[in-house]
Amino acid sequence: MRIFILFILCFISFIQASIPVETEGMEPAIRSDGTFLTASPTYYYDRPSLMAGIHSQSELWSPDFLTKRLLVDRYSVLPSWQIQEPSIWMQVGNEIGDMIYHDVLTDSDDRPMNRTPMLEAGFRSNSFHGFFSTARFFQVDHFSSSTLKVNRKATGTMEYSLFGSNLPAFSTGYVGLGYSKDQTELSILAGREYLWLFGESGRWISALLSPRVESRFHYKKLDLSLIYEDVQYKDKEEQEEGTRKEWSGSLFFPFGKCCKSSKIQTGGGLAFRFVNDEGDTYFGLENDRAFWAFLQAKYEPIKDFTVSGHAGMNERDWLIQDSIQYSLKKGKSSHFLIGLHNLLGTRLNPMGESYEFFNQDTISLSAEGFLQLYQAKIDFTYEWKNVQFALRGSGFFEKGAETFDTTGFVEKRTDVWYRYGDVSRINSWIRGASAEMELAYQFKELFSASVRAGMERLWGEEERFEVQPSEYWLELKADWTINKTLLVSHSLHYRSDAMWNLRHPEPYEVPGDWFWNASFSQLFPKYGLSLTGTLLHVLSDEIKEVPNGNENRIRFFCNIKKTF
Amino acid sequence: MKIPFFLLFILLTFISGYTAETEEKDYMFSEGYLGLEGGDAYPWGTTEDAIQPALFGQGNFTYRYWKNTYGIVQFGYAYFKTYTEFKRFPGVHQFHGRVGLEHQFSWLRPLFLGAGFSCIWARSDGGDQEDKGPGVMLTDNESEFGTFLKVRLPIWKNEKYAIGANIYWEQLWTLPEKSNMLWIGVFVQRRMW
Repeated sequence: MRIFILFILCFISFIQASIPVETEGMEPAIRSDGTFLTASPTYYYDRPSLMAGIHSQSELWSPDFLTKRLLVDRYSVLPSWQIQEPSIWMQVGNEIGDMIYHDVLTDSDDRPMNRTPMLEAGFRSNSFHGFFSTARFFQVDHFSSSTLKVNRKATGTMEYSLFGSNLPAFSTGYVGLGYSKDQTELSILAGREYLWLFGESGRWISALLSPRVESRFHYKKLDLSLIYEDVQYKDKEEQEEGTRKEWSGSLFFPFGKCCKSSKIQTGGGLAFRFVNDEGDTYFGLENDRAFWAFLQAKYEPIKDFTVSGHAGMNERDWLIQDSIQYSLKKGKSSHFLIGLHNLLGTRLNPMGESYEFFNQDTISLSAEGFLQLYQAKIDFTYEWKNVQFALRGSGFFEKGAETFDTTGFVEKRTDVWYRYGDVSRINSWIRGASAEMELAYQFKELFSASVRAGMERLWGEEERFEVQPSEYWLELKADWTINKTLLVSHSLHYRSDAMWNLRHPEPYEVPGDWFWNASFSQLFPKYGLSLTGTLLHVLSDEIKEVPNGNENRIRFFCNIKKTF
Repeated sequence: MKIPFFLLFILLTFISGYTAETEEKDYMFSEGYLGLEGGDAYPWGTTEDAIQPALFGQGNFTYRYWKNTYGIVQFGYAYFKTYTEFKRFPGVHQFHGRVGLEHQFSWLRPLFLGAGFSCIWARSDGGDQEDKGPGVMLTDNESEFGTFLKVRLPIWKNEKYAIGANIYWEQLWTLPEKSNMLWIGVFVQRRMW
């Protein structure tokens, strides 16, 4: 049943003709509704519109992240080991701009930087008495040209992926078996994965996970996961090598009714990590272990009034998030929502690494004290025939925000800077206000369009945050569904300047830019078949959005998928 | 140049979206054709100085998508000779694939107009990978995407077979500038269902 609902949701989201990305988790590379800055598929700063605090979304722990990947101290959808719907699929793509025949006419000094491809193939079989098999190989070499020279010295080889020699940010292959019937789901996947992790120092650190084994079990209101990773770290230039054997997992009871009252729902769980490090591992976990016990609750004493939150703790950290929300509907046409949101905690991500080891420095990835964050939000929506208008606003106060206390820089090569220091706090109040407006139009099943625009302003005694977010953004979308079988989707975006203050000796400005995404899909619903071609980040300048990262270039990829 | 092109594209998509026929009947895959096509490919613009025109061969699969619209899938091969003054390698193997749609407008009968995406894979015929001079990237596998516009001219047909000609303008998204090529081919196709 759960798989069926997931399939329906996937299908609905596909029909709504949103622009696809290379692989799950790369959405920040094509979003503008907030501040989204991408260094590579395995590292980006993602801070959506109206978000409170100066941190990015993937830095803050939440129960939703139990199925995501922990990359150093951030959670990432990518590389996703989530089992797909029963289907067979393949996709190929490229950062466009290889020379091909122009190469014959071009001297080596005038040669533009080589563009890099992407490749994916996979299947999940139909169920046989509930049993199924699956396999997936995928790697995205996009966003890997600028880091190639430094990373090649670290690996000492160009053959550091399952396919090709571009040193992609991730390269993953796995095979697995599963069982899905009634309310029971069980799966075990095993594979090999190459990853480049972005340290707080600004280095890219190679990690080969071989094997990585992930097992998941779901029964009614219980989710269990157990993961084993044998990680090999290597820096040939520094003659360093290390290994980590890690067991991690979780036990989770999602929301369920409590106390004979349908007004209260509760849930909870436990997450854990155990590591055994040998040699140069670049990261360290305090006491070689991390636990996180948490509870969550939702209470609706009267209709449209909701109180919800979760709280967790371990031997070192604690984190509480709660929200109060009142929703007022007037007829079918207008909807007003007001909410308060609070966050208190000693660390945004208590499951993350404790240290990063860089030369003789040990970078502490947590700080003493705690942060407090208070936010008020409003959301007004009005519908008139096929037109929808929305106005949203947010204001927040934050004290103790996590930041980085940079104590020094070292230049690795031209304009590639590594930093020393520790994660610390901004012990003064930061205030922020943001607003956005949305106008959407729907014409039968044929056409839909929307325009969203937003702005944000931050104030405080301290203004040198890790990232100074964009102040203005714009998003225009238009989708056609012609004859219910040809989908044409566009989105045009603008993001104003953003700034990295602490990863570069001089403030690193990311200039504002326009970009356009477009996707064309032929659907064959009767046959479960689809063909899609997608262009991403067109019209923009090639900007390096993160210090030591890679340029966000124009990319094209095509996908063929047959569902069973 | 980018912005006017973009605005024109958006305008065309608006027009095509609003003028699209609403299908009363399901034509999808109601007809399927396999074909063989051969002809000449002519580099056009700067790449004329890099490679010579070449013969090509390709296989075509055409299926009915809507009432007057057909889907096309093509795979083919061409060997492009370099000029004699370029000593590094004598030619380049190119495999190509295309996916797109072609439509017969009532005002343009019997011609079909088509468009879609192209993908090519190229590799030099020999050549030393250690020499970093011009052409070195082609000594390893290279691939690129692009778009094409095409015109199909039906010449003869009976119940099972058809003969016709295709003209393609293909533009690959290469650097330092885009690569244009004109393809002219004659095809024979057989209706499979």
